[in-house]
Amino acid sequence: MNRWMTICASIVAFATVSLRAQEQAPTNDELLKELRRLNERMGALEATHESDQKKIRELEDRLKTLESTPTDPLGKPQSTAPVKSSGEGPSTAEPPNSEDELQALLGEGATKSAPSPSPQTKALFSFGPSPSGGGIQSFNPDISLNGDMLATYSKSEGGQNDDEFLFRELEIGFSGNVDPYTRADMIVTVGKQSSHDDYEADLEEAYLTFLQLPAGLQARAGLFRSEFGRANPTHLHALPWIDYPFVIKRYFGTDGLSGTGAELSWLVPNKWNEYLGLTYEIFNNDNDTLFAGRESDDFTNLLRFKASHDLSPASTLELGSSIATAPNDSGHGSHRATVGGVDVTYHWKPKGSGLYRSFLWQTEVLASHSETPHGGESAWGMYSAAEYQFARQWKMGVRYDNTELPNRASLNERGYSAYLTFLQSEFVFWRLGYIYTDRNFREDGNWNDQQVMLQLNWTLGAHPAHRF
Amino acid sequence: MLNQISRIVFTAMFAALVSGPHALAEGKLRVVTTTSDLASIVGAIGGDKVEVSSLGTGKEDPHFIDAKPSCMALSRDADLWVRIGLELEIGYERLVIDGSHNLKIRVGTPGHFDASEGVIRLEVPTGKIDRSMGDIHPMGNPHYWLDPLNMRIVAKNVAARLGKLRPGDQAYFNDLLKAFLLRLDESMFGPPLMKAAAIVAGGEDQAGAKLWALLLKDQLDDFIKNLGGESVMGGWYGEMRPLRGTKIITYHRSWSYFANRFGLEVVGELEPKPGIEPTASHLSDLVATTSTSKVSFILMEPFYSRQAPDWLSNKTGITVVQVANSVGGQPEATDYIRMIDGIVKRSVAACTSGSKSATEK
Repeated sequence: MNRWMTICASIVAFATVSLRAQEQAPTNDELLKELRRLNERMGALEATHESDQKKIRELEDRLKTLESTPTDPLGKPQSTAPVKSSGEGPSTAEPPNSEDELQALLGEGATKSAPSPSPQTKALFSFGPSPSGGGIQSFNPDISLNGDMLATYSKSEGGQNDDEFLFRELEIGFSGNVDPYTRADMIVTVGKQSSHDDYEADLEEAYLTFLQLPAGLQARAGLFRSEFGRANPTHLHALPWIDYPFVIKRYFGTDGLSGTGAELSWLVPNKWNEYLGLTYEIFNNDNDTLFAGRESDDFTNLLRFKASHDLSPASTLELGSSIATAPNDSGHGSHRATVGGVDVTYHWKPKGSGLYRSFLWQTEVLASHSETPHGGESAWGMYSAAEYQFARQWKMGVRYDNTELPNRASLNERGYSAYLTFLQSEFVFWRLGYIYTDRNFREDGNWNDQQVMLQLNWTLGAHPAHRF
Repeated sequence: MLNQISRIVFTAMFAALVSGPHALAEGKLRVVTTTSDLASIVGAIGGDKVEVSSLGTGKEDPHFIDAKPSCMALSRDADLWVRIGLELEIGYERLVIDGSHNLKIRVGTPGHFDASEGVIRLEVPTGKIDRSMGDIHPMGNPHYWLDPLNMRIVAKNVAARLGKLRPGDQAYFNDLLKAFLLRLDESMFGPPLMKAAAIVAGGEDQAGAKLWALLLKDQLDDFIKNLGGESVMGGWYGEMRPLRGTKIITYHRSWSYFANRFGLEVVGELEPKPGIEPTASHLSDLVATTSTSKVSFILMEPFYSRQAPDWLSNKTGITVVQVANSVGGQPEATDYIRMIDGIVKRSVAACTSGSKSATEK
């Protein structure tokens, strides 16, 4: 009796809802008809219910044989409770847990070899953690290869890069987690500066990053590109230009400032939740452009501070300052050279159309002071560059360079360059560059130089992470 | 001299450390999600006990979120990181987590949650794959959040993970989970069907799961027929029912899960390969496709250019439906359910009116 009352109540409730859904005002006759119809339907429903019960019992049995599913937050006790299998009818059976049934169905799919013909279930189901990278290559490091080729046309003769093709660099990178505490990055480059040189293999970077330090600290040890400013730590192929700015090359040499040593960096907590990063590095003083090269047994000390602020969801302003000091090779390392730098970067990438439009402006100014036996030598240098993306695959940019030579401040070099980049895909780009160099001194017999370059760069292997 | 400076700086740093990290407010669980859809789910289940922020706003291509320093600052003190997974975040996740210097959210810790655990995955490549196939994801298509059933699974897993991190609040999370599932299921199937299912399943909170189970077993249509057919059919399921078998063209391969759930058939993509810009020759191939099979509409995200779809639309007269497939992608997509609702409504509108006016905001 009780059962029928419940069902009738349900029918009334159900009828009300379904009628309301139709948004009609029925007459009494219609209502009666509807109720009768519903009664019939209810009979059919009961039949379905019974067959459902049977299926549920089957599923319950199957469920028992399945391993307990790992992701049931509700942990319903009914899941393991057996459903009565006697023929007493559905009303006396314990209510089945549909969540568990659904879970079992989803789990069942994981072992299903042939996909079901229904479009709703034509899928691969998966359970358990799915680590990125897949199972097969799990313990291999991520490997990436980067090739860089140049075609150069130079107006003046006798320079380093005459009219030539140059396979400038092959970079081979390995990276991965070594253990739960550390990550390793190793980059070997095989390259040359001019087609007349021989290829030289060089260890560009090889360092461990200690990721499990407390209190927002992180450390690196090994050989790495120094975090001086913005252009210096960037790899050749990740630059928005064909080559490093003049000031970087004149101050730190063609490969930039790098060394073997250690780094400690700290993300400074602050109540505004802004990015404030402080980095300290100590490494061998073997940069032979500004510092002592092989002459010294002292270290280079470097300190960098970087702050970043989002002006809007689309634009970011970054400010950085760096200072590095070490003995130079005057008097076999008895004199000191110090270089300081300030960098400003502005990024713009609209939220809606960021695939097609973006803008980057970056400027760095460096100043140095070197002690020599004849007194001090102070010099400065800078570059300022802008890059605008005007289509999904196209960017154009300009750069202005102006630098003194740190060891002879009277010598000055300026550069004006323009670039057009075509991103064939995420992994291949072409870049056309025009570079005009103007000096107040002769280099390779020339006061000035004009070069047109075409760069082709490609990355093979592991998907690169894009540094902002 | 500089050695002295660095010594001073170090002293200051350690002094700051000893004085303790800022704002260690034991209270709200701080959650950072990669996409806005995950933030919507976490917010719905975490309620007042969590403070959730998302790196993505829903307006940008989720493959290309920048590893901005602000993302690192945001993640610095997070207790939980939630990602879509299946390599959607491969371009920036490591940089942000490493850059955050936060040990709690590193991969493999309880504070790192991959939402793809246990979801239905489509287009998992078999055999050797390489980049000649475009930007392909070796573990399957990562746009799984467009299947409401998948986000149902994610919601349950999120509740479990939040409970693991805050065992005392498990009951609270379970209550909100129940409410969310009810809202999601009711949106999917409509109130009348839910009511009927509640009778069969023996409880209101079991109704949704019952219907999903019937759907997976391919018995939902029979169940509805037994109840009297169309009159009880509602929700997204009911609205999309007439569209079953409809052929569509999409911009990117990001609609597979939505199409699969509602029985749409994707006959072409504007991108010749995933992540590759549409080309003229590929677009002419698509014109040929539309002449052999009746394509109802072109489905695309707001962050892609209208150039290629408009060209195809002009050539063929096929409607373009530009709709957010992430929360926040359009003003009305304020949460996950409203976002799916928007896709359903616009798809239906495109099919019923057949005119281009249906695509306008």
